[in-house]
Amino acid sequence: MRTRVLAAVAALALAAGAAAAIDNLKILIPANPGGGWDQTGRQLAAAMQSAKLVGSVQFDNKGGAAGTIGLAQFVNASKGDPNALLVGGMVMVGGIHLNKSPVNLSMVTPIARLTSEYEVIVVPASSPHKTMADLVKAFRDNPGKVSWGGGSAGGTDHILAGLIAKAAGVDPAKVNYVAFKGGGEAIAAIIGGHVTAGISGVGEFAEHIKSGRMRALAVSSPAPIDGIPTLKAQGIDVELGNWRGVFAAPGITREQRDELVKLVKAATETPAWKATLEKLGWTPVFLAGDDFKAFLDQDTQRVASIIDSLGIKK
Amino acid sequence: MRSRRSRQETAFAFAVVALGVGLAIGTALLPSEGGYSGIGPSFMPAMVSAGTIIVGAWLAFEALTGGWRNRSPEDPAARGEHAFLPAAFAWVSAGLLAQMALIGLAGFVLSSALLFACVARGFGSRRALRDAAIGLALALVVYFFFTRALSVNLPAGRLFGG
Amino acid sequence: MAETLAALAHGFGVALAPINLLWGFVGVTLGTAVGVLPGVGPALTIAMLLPLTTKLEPVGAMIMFAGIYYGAMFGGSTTSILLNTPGESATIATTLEGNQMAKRGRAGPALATSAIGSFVAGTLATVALTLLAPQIVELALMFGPAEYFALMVLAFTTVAAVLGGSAARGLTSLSFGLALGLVGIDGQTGQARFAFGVPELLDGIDVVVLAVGLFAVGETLYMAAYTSRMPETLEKLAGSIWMSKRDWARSWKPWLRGTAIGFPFGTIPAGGAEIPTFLSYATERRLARERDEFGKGAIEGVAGPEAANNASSTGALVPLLTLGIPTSATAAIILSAFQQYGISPGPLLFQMQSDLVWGLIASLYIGNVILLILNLPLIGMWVKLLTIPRPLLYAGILVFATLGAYSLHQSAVDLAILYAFGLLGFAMRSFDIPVAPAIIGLILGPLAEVQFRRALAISEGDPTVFFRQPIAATVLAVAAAVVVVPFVLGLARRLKRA
Repeated sequence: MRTRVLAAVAALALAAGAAAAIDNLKILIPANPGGGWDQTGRQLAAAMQSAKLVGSVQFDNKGGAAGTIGLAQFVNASKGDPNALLVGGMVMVGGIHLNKSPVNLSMVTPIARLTSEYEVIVVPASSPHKTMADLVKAFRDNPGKVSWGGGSAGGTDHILAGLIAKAAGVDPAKVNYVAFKGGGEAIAAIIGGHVTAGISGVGEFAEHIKSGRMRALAVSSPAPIDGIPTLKAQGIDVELGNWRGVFAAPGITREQRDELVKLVKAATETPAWKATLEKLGWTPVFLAGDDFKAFLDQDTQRVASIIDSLGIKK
Repeated sequence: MRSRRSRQETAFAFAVVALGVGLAIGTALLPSEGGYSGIGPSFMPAMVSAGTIIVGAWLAFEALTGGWRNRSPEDPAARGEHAFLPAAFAWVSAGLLAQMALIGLAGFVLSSALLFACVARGFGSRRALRDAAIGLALALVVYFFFTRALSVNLPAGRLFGG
Repeated sequence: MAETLAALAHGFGVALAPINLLWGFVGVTLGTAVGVLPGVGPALTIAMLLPLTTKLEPVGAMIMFAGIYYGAMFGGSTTSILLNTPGESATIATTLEGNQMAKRGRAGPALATSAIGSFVAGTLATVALTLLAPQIVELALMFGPAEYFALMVLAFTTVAAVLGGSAARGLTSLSFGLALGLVGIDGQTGQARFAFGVPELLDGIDVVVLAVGLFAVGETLYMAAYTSRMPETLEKLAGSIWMSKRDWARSWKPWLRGTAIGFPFGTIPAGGAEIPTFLSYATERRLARERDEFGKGAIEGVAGPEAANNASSTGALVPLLTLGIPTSATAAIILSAFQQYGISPGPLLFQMQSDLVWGLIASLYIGNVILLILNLPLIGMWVKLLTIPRPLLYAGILVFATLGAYSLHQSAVDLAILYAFGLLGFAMRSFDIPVAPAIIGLILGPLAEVQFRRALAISEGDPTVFFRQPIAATVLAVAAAVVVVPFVLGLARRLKRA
């Protein structure tokens, strides 16, 4: 483990040549402090520093509009800067499409996908729906009667509801989706039985599932989580992870990009990063460089088409 | 001949009506499908624009029938104030606009010091250098509190490579 | 009950350890400092301190966070009262009467009633938290979108009292606020409204920016233009800086009423501490014997909202500790702090981590005391701020005001928005249009809309949902009574006279 890190550092130093590669790394976090992107950025930097991969790290939080404000600044102000990183993820992909943002992720340089948080579908403990099949049946019979509570309209939770509808043979525009701001509001509405079902990241609901106030019906991951069966295993062919990753500035050279990929890869191999994943319940889904770019193109397409089918966008 | 105040009140009232009409135009461009609730994104704007037009009309009615009710005295002296001083207003505005324009280029510290000096000037201070120095000291303290204690970024200024 | 008290006593044992007291002091001091700055609130501060606290014991860290939370509320009130610049959204209501008191040389009593009111409310709310948390949370869970909408209607009708002397102008101001509330992404559909392609507008207008723009920037422009060349005749310190017997007599009931309004609001996720503070303000205005004094510095108008905001922040801990539901931004950050320690709030927390929970609850009591003993002696110092010559004082206010707006998105666009609100505030002031209704419109409008649409979506467009559910129907009936009863009484009186 340690030798691998050292090897990576050595390779990095070699690649960087005489100019000490990254003395001062700048990370733009397109969200306010405290959320998932902020944690991703700061923990990644801490992992880099723990292995002495970088000198100082300067953070810039610029939140708002699903990260598109931060993205716009990054595109405009960091052009060609080989020491700048931007945190982003699937929420940003959706936000760009929904807000008709003038900037998008094809204008920055994809470095690596880092983590994924899978979604869970729950019902209140008092709900008559015992399994995903029950819920889907009720949904097929009368889509309007099944209200789905989750995060912002067009966000990850809404997208998953749309994908489930599609897989169940219901028009995604027929989903009765009730958007809530922030986790607390949605949790209270679900536990209080004010909505039929709820969708959110597994971490957000885990405690309430454990305490028995919510009943978990399915997860959107490829494998079961905490004994909760996957959607796929229950006949709904849907998989969705709220991924997060890092991007570099537009207009950097291929060598500069490869250098950053190496740096980020080395950081993800540190014990500090692994401990972070463990603590926050994030699944590592490392994918770098061109592979990440291909994934990104594909995900952008998928997200755009499902958002369009939700019937919320003009 | 109607008074100056009455003309101002009428103008304000029509500005409020115009705002309401502007809202109505914006509302017309919004989709109104509301899904299951039957209430779309244009419902609330429609209500607000109607309300705004109504209160604007009310203000216009008051202005044209003896002026708005229960106003403070028109004579500044009776309010314990002096006549409108355009220069003072302009200095404060200039400070705010200068900070807006310069914060990226000159950084938070310098642009805030300039704002400080301009506002003080607007309030009649003649000691521009002293004011700028105080503003600079205040801005520096804030800058270091933010960037060091809270690690929240404030612009250092592109002039200085920030 | 006996069990609870024993657990609490144990909690005090944990919290009173000298090192924990030290963290409490650090927290309150830091909280007061950030509370003073508009735009930087307790949520952000705690978020930034999270990485540091992994080195602390959980109890020490939690005590520090509680201190930051309380300190920020008090710091926000200090600038509201002295500088007409609310540092936190929960202290906007305090600005209305607090700054008027300061202008009349009564900044000392205003700050004192705020500090003592916060202490009283914080302590009472903590008692309620200690004894009744599980019961209260079950009640809070019965509130769904229909009930929240009914609450918003009640809030609207209650705060109509702050519309001021002219109904036409009060409603004009309200419609400005409602119009500004439309700006941004519509939560239910993701549709952008009135954002004109400006990304900074997509998340809507921040209420602190509006308040700071209307109050601080608008006021500064007005003062410069109309009073800057007047001799500084206003008595800056009239009478004692301490509360008189009469101030006490006028304050204690608002403290209790503010607590009663603030605490329940804190326990439901219905939009933070702003609503109860305005409700408390409106209540005091209705009940006050010296109603004419409102708008000119009535102490009731400071005592009530200040108690309400503190009680509400304690109320937010009820669903947080018992169910792990965060009802405010700060509560959400505290929740993630719990998670950093591998502690999960919820029903099991009280059993599994009783040291921590009771240590935290004990630290709330202690935090309130620290806040009081730290701040009462400082009032004398704070009040001296007002003796700074006017040019420098207003210059400083604008530096803080712009800083707060800028730090929202790190963008000069927000400075432009702030200046536009300053101009609006100047115009409204020049035309005798009250600014408070605009702020209330901005807070309540979007909340009422979103709850209305959620309730109707769940009922598939059936509007009877608001009358079929007993809680919603009751609240709506109270709202109707608030409007109808004074009207009928007035009519009856007139008929009698005729």
